[in-house]
Amino acid sequence: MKSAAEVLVLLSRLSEEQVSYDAHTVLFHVEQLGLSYSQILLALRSATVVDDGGLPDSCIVEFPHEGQSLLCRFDINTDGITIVGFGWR
Amino acid sequence: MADGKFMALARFPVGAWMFQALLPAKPGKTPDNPRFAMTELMKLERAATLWIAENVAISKETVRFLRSQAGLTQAALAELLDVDARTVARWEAGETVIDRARFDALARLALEHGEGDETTLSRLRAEPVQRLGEIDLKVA
Repeated sequence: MKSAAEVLVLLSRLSEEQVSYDAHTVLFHVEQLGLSYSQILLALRSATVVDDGGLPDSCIVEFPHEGQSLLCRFDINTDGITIVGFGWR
Repeated sequence: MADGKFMALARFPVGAWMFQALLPAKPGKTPDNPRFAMTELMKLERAATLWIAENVAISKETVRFLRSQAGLTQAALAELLDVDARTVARWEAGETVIDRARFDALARLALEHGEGDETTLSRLRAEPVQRLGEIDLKVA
């Protein structure tokens, strides 16, 4: 099982090739967030783990975006991470 | 399937337009929810940026989308386009409409940002947007 600290290390070293999106999140992403994919990657690198209850399969992190706190939920797999949802705190 | 790879339709909306393309994918947890690599989605995002720029598709949603592609905050864009930050917020809320010269400048910023090119960014930092183009008018 990965610890929150290990997740942070993973995120800080994340490359574009290691990130994937599920189709539902793609639809939500552009319409709701106003963030490009490269901006999401940058934000994840400095995100804070707020929920590690589902580790190692999933995790929720938080990062600031235009005055709001944005939550990102993702699954961790052998290739990297898959972003499966966003929300606002 | 194409070349033995699993392909799926990636779609994302920007206002009235739905951009979509067949991209390499991996099966997701459910059949209707495939997973796309971020590198592939970035290509689709860039293609959408180019379409919006070429078609001068001005809307509150496309302004916000182009700003995100340019990697700029509302305040940073406002400074480059020589307007108040509240003006950018009004464009993105649909309360007012961005003018053509500034929309073109925003589109160039978005396209160039994806290529690591700072040509327009440097120009706008040195000179207000309204001086980028001159329009000769004949007044009767």
